[in-house]
Amino acid sequence: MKPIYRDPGLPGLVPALAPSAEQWQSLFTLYIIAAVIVAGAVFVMFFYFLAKYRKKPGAQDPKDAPRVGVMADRGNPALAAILTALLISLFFGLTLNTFALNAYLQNPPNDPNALYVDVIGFQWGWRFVYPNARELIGELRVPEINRTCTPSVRGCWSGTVILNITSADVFHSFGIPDLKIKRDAIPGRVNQAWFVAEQSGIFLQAIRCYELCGTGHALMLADLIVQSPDSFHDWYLTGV
Amino acid sequence: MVDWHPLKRWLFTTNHKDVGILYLFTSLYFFVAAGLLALTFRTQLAFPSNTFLQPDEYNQAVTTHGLLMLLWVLTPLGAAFANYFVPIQIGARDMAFPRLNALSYWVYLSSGLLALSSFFAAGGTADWGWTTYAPLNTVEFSPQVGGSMMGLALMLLMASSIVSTVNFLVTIFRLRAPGMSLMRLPLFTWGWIFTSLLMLWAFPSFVSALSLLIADRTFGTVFFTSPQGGSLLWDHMFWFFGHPEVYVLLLPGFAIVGDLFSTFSRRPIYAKKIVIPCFAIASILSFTVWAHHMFMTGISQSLLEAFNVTTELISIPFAIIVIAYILTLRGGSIRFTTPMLFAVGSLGLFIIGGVTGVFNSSVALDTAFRGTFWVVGHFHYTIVGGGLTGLFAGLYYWFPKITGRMYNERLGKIHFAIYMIGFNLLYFPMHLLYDMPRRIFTYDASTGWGPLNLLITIGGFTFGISQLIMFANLLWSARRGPQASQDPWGGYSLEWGVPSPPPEFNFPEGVPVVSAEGITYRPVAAANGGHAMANGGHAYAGHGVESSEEHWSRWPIVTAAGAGIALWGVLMGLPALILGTAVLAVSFVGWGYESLRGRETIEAIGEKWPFDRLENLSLGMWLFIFGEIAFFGTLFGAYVFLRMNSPLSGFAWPQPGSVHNIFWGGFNTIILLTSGLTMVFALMFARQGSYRGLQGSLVATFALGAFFMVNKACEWKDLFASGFTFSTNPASSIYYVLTGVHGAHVVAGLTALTYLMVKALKARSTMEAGASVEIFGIYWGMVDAVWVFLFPLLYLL
Ligand code: HEM
Ligand SMILES: [Cu+2]
Ligand SMILES: [Cu+2]
Repeated sequence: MKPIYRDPGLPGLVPALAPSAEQWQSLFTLYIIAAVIVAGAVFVMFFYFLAKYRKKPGAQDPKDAPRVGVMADRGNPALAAILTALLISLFFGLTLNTFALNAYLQNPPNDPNALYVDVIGFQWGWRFVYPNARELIGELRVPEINRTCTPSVRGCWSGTVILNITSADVFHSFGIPDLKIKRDAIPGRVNQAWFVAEQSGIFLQAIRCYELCGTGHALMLADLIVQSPDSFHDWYLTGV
Repeated sequence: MVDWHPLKRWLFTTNHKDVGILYLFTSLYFFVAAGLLALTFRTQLAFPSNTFLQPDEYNQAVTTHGLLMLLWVLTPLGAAFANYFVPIQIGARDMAFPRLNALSYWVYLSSGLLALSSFFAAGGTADWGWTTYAPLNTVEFSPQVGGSMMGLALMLLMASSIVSTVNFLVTIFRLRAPGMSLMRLPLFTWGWIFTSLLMLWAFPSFVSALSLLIADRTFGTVFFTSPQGGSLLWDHMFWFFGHPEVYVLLLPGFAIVGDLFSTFSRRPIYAKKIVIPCFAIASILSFTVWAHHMFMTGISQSLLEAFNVTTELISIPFAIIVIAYILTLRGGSIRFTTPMLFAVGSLGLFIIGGVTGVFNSSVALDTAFRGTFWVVGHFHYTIVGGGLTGLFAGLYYWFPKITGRMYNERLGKIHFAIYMIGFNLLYFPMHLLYDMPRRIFTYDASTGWGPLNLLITIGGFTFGISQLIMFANLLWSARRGPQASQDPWGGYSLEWGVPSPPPEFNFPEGVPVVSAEGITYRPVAAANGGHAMANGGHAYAGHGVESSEEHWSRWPIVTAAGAGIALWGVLMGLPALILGTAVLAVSFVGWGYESLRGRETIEAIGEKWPFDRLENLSLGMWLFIFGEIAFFGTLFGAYVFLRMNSPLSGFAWPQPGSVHNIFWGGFNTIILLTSGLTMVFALMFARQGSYRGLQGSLVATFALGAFFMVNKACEWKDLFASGFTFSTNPASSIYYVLTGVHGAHVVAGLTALTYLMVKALKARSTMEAGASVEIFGIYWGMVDAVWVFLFPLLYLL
């Protein structure tokens, strides 16, 4: 078993745990680059104007300076159209990438060897129910990815984990920040999320609630335990 | 100003400038209260596993902080400036309905006191976060009476805002000075137009959501406890209001920034003709993005993508405005006095908030951000960075106009420097905590979140302390500051053309007439036979408030007190309820009596486009109905939602005819429609000048309306007897709420009818009553029309 691993909570420092997290990280980087370029250009222009056009000693007002009741017309409306077109094309690029990742996150693969777990949020904790009715509270055990377990092989755990998330009482939100997985746990409804973990280990308090659900909200934690397929299977059958 | 006793002036004033000052002090008071609350929970979070606050205290502090800041601080601070300056900026001598304006303020205050008092109720106040998610907000999980009290306080506040909204829109559209075309209005007035329109459409939706919540909490309906409604019904209703609401918070400050960029750089606003449509587009789009707050709720992939795109689209008009503001500076001669510094700060911070907003708009990235401190960082950059900083710019900018004295420039600059440092220390690190859930009262040291949280808390205290500098500066300067000139900045809006502070009726030299060359004042006597008033403040002919003697009323404060006490009594006991209702009743009689003496409104004197044909009162009524459409529309939406989700957990919606008696329902429909007909007769007789015909039709309308209510009561009684109660199922819950609020509208109509009958009786003629009959007719027509939708929905489908 790998040593206990913790997310230090700073972006960029998280070693990828799963494809969902890796892809999220690269999408985030893409957005950051776009944001830095665009906002950077705007700020440069902003500060340049502020510095360049500051009042010089003894300077006269510009000719068209506003005075009470009068504001001259000014400006080139075509600029707005150009700006709109630029932004739309930028968003188009960003959005295509977003939609690709979204489609990945939203649609679990059709994998006969996936592990299905029912996740039930309650005030205040998480209950995990496995297909053989084994139940855990405060701890989610899953098998690590197993690349030899393809759909044509039977009776193995591929590492795909599909969660059916609901709530027994109020609105909770089930999140595993290290995997960049999150889905609301809503009473009377079932929401799906899925992931594959690529790194085994005991991830203490890796699971959190992300919607205020009462006084115990901060304590609504669970551990994530990623095991090798074999040891997971042992546990699955025997409970130890 | 006439020599009134200060108590009379401040309690009874209907002068828009006094009302503005009342708003200013009250909103800053709530700002301090809500800020102190924030410091308590920031103290709690400063260190891992801290025990400064208990969990329930933490949750109440967070909730109250959010609600107070959003609803009792930011919008009212904007309203303070709007009250003081919008009438002057359009060239009017007061609001269209000065008494209603005072009423809005006093109801705002009383709702705020109700909200604060909920803190002291047993079990404390609301503790579910400002978003009030269901079903945590129901009695099963949050039984404390303080939660319901907060709900009622919110309703009361919404009522105040809706009245104020109607008043402002009528004022701006109907009372502009000659030559003051819409395009000549300053950005601040434009910003307030859009703020008002957003409020008029969004706030009634919130009232319907709150109605369902309060019905659940006090009458046991099952909207948010049943799976058919539940979490998602609240989410949709809340965010349909919630997203426009965040623009309500932003626009006033954001608009001020535009005016200030122009004034302090001495250049015209760049592409003002594009900026204003951009405000309009953003306002309209703001009603199409609400589900971006629900990306994790399990809505379908195609809807996710649709809301992703609308959310991105909405950032385009904002981007254009930002660029236009920046280009305004070009070729200017920028003066960096305190108002301009805050305006610059506001725009800079808003850009950062807008950029993180685009991150949130990505459904995939939002998987990580939803419910974390990243989102908290985002919206504080927009609302506090963009909105509040802009309003503070306005506070410094208008301070000399309001007080006639100058603030201390050096202290202003020091305030700005500490404000910016504190702000960024406080909110920037939140983005780095994008794994940390928001609203947690504690966290473990092993998370590694400790140092950033400590930094945030330090930033919070810095930010808080910087405000003390402003308060000290302004309070001291208001008394001791050097005399300010009429126009210290070279402003372009009309308030800079009148003395500081402006006289009671704003324009001492006559009616302002605006043209491309500038502003002239049409002398007093020339105004179509108008008569000069001795107090020199009044230069307008017409009806309505003529002089200082009529520029006050004791009823707004009484009504507000009655409403506050009555609502408090709903939860705290019959004596208060009876007292409050009695006070309300007395105040209504008082209002009616005052109205009979003809003090409704300030008359139009100049530009009225595009509402030249409507009287102030009818425009007001139509705007009100616009809000009512949002109110009932959202309730219908709730009905549709419940019905569409009724198969969840195997509930079968009752078949038509199985519960409700179609015959009686149809009969009642005919009664109500007939009363609509008699109302048409009333209007006809009023136009013809037949007093007896008018009075007869009014009585008939009243009788039919009352009969409708009696029938309704019998129906309710039978349904209850047959076991179909508030809490039977979602179908019964929505039936009672829909017919209940409709019935309340009928009862309100009957009250107004009583007033009309008295008015007609007193006048013994139709002349005076005519206009009021028409306005009431519009209202009554709406009540009928709503029923025309309700009947098939509830009885036939
Ligand atoms: C410029 C474009 C903007 C975009 C694209 C944008 C987008 C978003 C999105 C997608 C969310 C939901 C995030 C989540 O909960 O995970 C959000 C939250 C929020 N935004 Fe914006 N936003 C923008 C501007 C603004 C502005 C101008 C304001 C207010 C003045 C604002 C105020 C808020 C607030 C208050 C929330 C959080 C509500 C809550 O959960 O308590 N945003 N924004
Ligand atoms: Cu929670
Ligand atoms: Cu939003």
